Amino acid sequence: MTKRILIIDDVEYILEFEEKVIESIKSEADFSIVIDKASTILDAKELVDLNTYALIISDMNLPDGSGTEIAKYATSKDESTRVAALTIYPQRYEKERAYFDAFFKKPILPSVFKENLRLLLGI
Amino acid sequence: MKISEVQAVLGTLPLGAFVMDEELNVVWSNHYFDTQFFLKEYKKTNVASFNFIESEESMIDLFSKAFHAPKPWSQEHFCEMSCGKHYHCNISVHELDEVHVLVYLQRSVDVIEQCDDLLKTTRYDHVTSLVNRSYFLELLGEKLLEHNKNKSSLSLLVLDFDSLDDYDVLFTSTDDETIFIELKNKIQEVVGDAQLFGRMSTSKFAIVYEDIVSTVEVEKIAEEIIYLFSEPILVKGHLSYVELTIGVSLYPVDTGNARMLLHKAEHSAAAMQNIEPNSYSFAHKLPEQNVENVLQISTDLPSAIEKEEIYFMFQPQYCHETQRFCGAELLARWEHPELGFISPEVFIPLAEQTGMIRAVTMKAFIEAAKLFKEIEAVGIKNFSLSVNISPSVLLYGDFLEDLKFFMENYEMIGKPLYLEVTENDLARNISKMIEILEEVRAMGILIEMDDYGTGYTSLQYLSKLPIDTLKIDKSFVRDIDTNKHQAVLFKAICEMSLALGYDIVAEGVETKGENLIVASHKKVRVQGYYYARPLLKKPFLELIQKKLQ
Repeated sequence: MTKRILIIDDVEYILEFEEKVIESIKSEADFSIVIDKASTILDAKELVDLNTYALIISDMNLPDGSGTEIAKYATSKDESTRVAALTIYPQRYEKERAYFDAFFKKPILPSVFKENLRLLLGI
Repeated sequence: MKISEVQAVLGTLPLGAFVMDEELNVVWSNHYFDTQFFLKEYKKTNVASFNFIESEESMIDLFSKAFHAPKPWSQEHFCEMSCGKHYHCNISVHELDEVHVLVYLQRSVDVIEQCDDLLKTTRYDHVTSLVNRSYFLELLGEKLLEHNKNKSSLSLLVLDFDSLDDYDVLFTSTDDETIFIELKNKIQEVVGDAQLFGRMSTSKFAIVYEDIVSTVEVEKIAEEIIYLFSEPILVKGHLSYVELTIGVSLYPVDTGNARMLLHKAEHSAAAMQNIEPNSYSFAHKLPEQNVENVLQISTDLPSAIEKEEIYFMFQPQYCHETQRFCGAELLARWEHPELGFISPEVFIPLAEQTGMIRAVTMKAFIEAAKLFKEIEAVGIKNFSLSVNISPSVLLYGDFLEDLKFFMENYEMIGKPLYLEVTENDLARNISKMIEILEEVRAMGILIEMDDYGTGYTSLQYLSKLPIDTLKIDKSFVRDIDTNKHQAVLFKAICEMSLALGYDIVAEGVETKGENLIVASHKKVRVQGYYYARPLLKKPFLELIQKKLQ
């Protein structure tokens, strides 16, 4: 079985960082993981149209809008997609909670992020 | 009853009331009716314009019937309130005089509870049911007005459970919030006479005591709370230890403003986190600072890292033996878009207090990894990079795991990376530090002791510390070419360090004379303005490719 993960962030080093953290827990899973990356909502929507994602991790503050937009779009296409938000200020998005499975606080650190990924992916 | 009497009695009651005449014109209405049944812009001059009552009859028919019916007259209807919700209301009409009637609109009890619930969500924290930050400030403001009138004082305590700040919220599980309810219950054990108890943020609670104002009494309460949390709390069947610091501000000693009073207590609590966990501090005992700026800096720190407002400069180290630059120290700098340049002496301690220092350090590691690649790309070998590390980062539970992740995933194995720890930080918790640094070295990372000579490391400890390099503080380097005592001290430190097997970096070399003396000591690297100030990456890369005589 393969689980596809989409990570969305407009800051290049954070995107690379997230990718490395996901790569580092790959060996713990009894399924294979494929990672896609996007820096804008537009790019992310194109990828959502093309693929089925087990998990989407999106920054909330993207250049062309909010992470909530991609959360709504992805879950309307596939209800089983789990969506996590990454934000510096989780308390600012109380009203958007319903669209996400989790809110992760930025800046992320490997140990904490790994643990949250394990929970979301059921590893 | 006269209309003026109705106004006096019903003006501020929490039920809708209005007076209408035979033409169904609304001649008066109370505040509750205006705000709860109407949107602001809505005209309410005649009942014909009412649209909040759900009835099969027109409003004119309904109220004409009521006007002429025997009094008191009443009917039940659903009404749409201005908050958008529909509630069951009793509408009753009472005779005032020959040409006016009084109309009451009252929600049924269960409906009132529903509205109270709505109020609760805006005023109370949904996890602990304590008052939230904004309502706390509102109530505190009212209390300060009273105390100002009575010329009395009050105390505000902020309990900051900093270690819980990184607590991520997994909405799939309600268990995650259990710990905060446990904290609240535990605090409630000592709150006792407190007049106000609220939750200010994820990990901060605040308590106001109006009758306890002497510092001795407040100290007693703070100590009691700290003692209470010296024992583990039970969360999800597991015993967990939590760390807290308490900040205390006093009215009117510290300020007369509710918001500032809270800020000062929060700032005091945060300031203690790095100095001494499980302790308390009074706001008026902290050094004077621009609290507003400090708060803005603390708030902006997390986004500054991401937006790269916090960046790194590189101070080269020169090696006389090879006549080349052989290393560099990474130095964090912050250019704030509104406040301008913020000194690291200001933002690093704040980052330590708020836990953001771990993110700054991780960013420094990533920057070092990138720079190693760029240095190799221009053909330079054996070039070391040093990253400053705060004791709060080293002592953080997940540090070794995060460091291991960095080494393994950023192609850092075998790279000459140094972690710089100041002598004083090492000495503060020496046995624990030795334990952690040994594990760091086992990963192939080198350790530098910064500011050597300014701290209190005994020579006995120095030989036991797991360090590779001593950076001799600039105060021992200054004037070594003109001051005999300085020269003797510098020579002695160098000889002792080399005998113990440590490499040496002389910091703060600024003049040709100082550099000549340092050059006479073998194996001593030089860092200082004589060779280069901290540089941005481009000029730094250009400089280190040059061979200097």
